[in-house]
Amino acid sequence: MSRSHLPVVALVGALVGALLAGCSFSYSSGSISNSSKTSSDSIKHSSDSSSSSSKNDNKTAFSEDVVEYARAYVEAGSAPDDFLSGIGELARRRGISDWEVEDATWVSIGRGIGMTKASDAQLADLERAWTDGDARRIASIQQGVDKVR
Amino acid sequence: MRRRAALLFAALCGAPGAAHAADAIDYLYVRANEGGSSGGHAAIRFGEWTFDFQHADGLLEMRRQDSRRFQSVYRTLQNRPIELSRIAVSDDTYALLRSGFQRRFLAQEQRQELSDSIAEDARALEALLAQARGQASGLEIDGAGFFFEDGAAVPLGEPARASRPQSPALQELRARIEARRGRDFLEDRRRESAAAIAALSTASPDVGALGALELGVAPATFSQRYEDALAGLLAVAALESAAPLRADALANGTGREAALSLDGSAAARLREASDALADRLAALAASRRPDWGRALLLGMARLAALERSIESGRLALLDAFPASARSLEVTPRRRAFLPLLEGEAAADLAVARARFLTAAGFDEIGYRDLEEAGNRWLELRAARAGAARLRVDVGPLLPRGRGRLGVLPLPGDSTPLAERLAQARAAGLADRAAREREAGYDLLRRNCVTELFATLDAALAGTAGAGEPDLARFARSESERRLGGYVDPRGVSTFVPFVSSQRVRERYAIAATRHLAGFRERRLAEMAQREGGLRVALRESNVVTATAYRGSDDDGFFLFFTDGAAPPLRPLLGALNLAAGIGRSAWGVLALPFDGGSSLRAGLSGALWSLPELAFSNVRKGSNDWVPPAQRPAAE
Repeated sequence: MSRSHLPVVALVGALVGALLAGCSFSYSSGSISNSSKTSSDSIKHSSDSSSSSSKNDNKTAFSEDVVEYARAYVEAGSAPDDFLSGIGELARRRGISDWEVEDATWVSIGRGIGMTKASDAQLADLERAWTDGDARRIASIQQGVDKVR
Repeated sequence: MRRRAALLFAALCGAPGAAHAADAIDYLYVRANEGGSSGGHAAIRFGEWTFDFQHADGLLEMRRQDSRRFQSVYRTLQNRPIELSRIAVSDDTYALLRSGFQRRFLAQEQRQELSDSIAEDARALEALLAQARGQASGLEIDGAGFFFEDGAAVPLGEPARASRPQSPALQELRARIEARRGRDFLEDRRRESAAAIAALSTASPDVGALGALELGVAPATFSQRYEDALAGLLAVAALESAAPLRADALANGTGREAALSLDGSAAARLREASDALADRLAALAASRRPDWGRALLLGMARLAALERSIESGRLALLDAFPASARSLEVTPRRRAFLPLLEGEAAADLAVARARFLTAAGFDEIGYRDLEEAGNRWLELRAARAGAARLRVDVGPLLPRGRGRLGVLPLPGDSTPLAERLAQARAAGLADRAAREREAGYDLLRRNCVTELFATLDAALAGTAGAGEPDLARFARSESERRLGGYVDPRGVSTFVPFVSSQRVRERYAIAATRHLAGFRERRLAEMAQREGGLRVALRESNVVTATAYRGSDDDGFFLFFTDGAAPPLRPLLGALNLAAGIGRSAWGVLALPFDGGSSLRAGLSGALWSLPELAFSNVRKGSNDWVPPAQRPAAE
């Protein structure tokens, strides 16, 4: 078989495969390797296999997600009431329940707001609605806003 | 320019660090194998995150995975090589595109949450309606399973404090809260939750009015608000009665595991953590967040688990596996891996334990990591001791304490429950139809490849001004400016993964390309260096003598590997594989009454994936249930 035919053959194979199970979920979500965190992450070196990476990954992912969520929420002009419910769901999906106690959460909210065109008056309204007037949380939000503005 | 030159240099030198350059994105084409994504797959990597789309239940869903995990799944477990194309971009473009993918992922998560909530609306209304008709009913909610018996009535008044054994930790927490907030505080919180239920509308959201995939616009549903208020009532009742933790809320163990035993200093550290947690919970009890009750129930359950740990001298952990966790049958092949997996899980547990015990205060993520590591280890130990099934879940694992409530308080909404239930069911159907329109899988027009480019387009179009008349044209010109070219998601044959990879390499500004070998390919290359190519090629060509393949319960039946074979040989080997698959199927028919159809399935699957080999093409590469740590390809 000539080399010029190879792409055609590959295309036929890919099409057959795609028709049979295109983009479907890989079996590995049910792999026995998922029984162990290290196995499922398959980190090669034992020095990297500690859960510190997962700990930092979870925290970083949550912080970054809160920034995007707060930003989208303010840009969409949604009712402030549902914001805290949304953050709660987001946190649960990242394995966190008591997100309120962390200053970093409020700084991320501030960063998200800071990326929008919200005025100082709007910022003050959101701070009141979301922090219940807690001075420490308001300061953290302001710190986040200042980081990006 | 200097950055691009550095990237190119690093790539030419093969420096692994180049994989995480912040100013480059990677297009990944994953080669085919049997099972999922058998036509090949594609993904885009932004540093530590890799985004791809998967087809499930008729919908195409975006996933965001740790980049190491993505490579582990495809290269190590599935033996699939990955062709990497590195696209050089500016910092600004990197941030723009990464944010675009992240927002779409979050919007999809939020949309899924809304769909789940609409379904839950119907379940809650069914339970309320059945209760109103005097029929048996009940509703499962998070947190109820930590302290309340199955089918318990929702407590609407102050429980008798000495009616059953009490948890000293919760007694102390109650005293701490009352000292800080006053003796009427818990009664006030109960009244607030009861009043929220009395004022609750049972209407379902208007699905038609919601945007397709916009982040930040999903409203809270009836069931979310109802279950938040129920959790508030439960949390107050658990505190007032200082309810003991249910025994089945804890992960099972024999009670003799050395890895969970605590000496005096460890117990002292847990006392300190317990005190810090109680302090946090006293603040949480006064929170204005709508779901404070759920978080407080989990926090109190953890407090009770810490109390039990200190009393018993053995780490007691809440059962953290979700109800949705996969339960695998422990087949003989899987059982053989258990000692090795348990060893890895034990090492994870030791690290998580040491980290939590040497920290100060109560760090929730550190404690959650300990819970997760302990749960995984205990599950593997139980399987090794003879359990027939093993729960697995990617995680992160967070204990939910799901439990069923019996008698439920009625929302104050005057609209008949039957009418609301009909509305909720209609909303569920409308929601499914809307999601199929927005994200329904279509092999040719909306698949795992086309959606990657569509997401790129959407992110680029997002920078257009309000007056931009033609967003598609704008996205195209932005793509040419920022990425060096344009790949049309609707282009002819773009939907085929390997064609898309070619298009990316032809049209974008490519800084480097890499072939990331799959596990078996890499092992064979290592063996060939040590032992000689011919010997290794012959030995590893078939499943009988191969040492780099141990077989997997997920693979169909076959004899010869054809991915490494010269293409002209493939039809011959494919014919032998086809014959083997047919033979196994025939045996499977005879064995049907005894093996539940597993032999027949393996035979048919084996025959099916032999067909592309007859046409000179390879799909099947074999897969692995587990690979020893020293043999795993490092993520690149």
